[in-house]
Amino acid sequence: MVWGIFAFVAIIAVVSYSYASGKTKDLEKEGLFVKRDISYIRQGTVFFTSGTYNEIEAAVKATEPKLSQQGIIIKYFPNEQAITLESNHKAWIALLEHKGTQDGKNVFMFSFPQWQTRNGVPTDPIKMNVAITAIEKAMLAVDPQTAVESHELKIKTK
Amino acid sequence: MSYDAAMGLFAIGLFVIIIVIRVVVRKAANKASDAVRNKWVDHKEAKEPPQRMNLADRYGVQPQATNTSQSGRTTPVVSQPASPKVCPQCGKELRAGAQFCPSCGTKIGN
Repeated sequence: MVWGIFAFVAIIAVVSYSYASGKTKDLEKEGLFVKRDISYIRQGTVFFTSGTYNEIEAAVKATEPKLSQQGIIIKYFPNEQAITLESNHKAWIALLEHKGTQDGKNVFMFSFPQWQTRNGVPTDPIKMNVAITAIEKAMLAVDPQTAVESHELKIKTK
Repeated sequence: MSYDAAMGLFAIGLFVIIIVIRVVVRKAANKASDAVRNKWVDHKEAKEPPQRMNLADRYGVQPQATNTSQSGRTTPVVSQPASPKVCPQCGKELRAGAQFCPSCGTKIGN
């Protein structure tokens, strides 16, 4: 009886792990997920591009159907030249905003101002990865010469 | 000791073990989180200037070829069409190789 319970728990654990890793692999195959250091969550990614906000908005809109399938909601704020991406479970929110120009290039910053954690670990890191991957790909689609910098941010988790 | 009492004790023991494991795991996770935070602070204190890299490198995409002028500035090599390409939607002039209009965001088919 006791061994039966242990075996059941072990089977459940193995099945859930296989399901989660299989899902990640599927996202990777689709090009929606790129393996990267988890530190990107605490960093601001600054893009230097010759693309304008309108171009980037259009490029992000082109990826919107795939992102909404993943439960990512995108909102556009043309007046503020900003785009927000958030999980439908409210687990995190991401912000891409136009910061100005530098050396003739438009400077956009992508960051995660908020995310939920459990025991100090982000609850939805896979979808956060999908969000930043989509933004990077949109930037590349608009300007293949886009340069990036990673900046440390002071962010407190709730 | 009856069978029921033994099973009861076993259930209580199992419950206590689960609680202990949970506390230990939580402590380990907090410790790991602190380690990450400390690493973060160390990195911040190092004040290393952020390194700029080409986004295309991250995806293994070859960026467009560039020319380096005598002043050392690099400019992308682009083939100039006879007349500038314009957006079919708003008529705004497009950059060479642009996939979207910079003015109205219309997707430009090649």
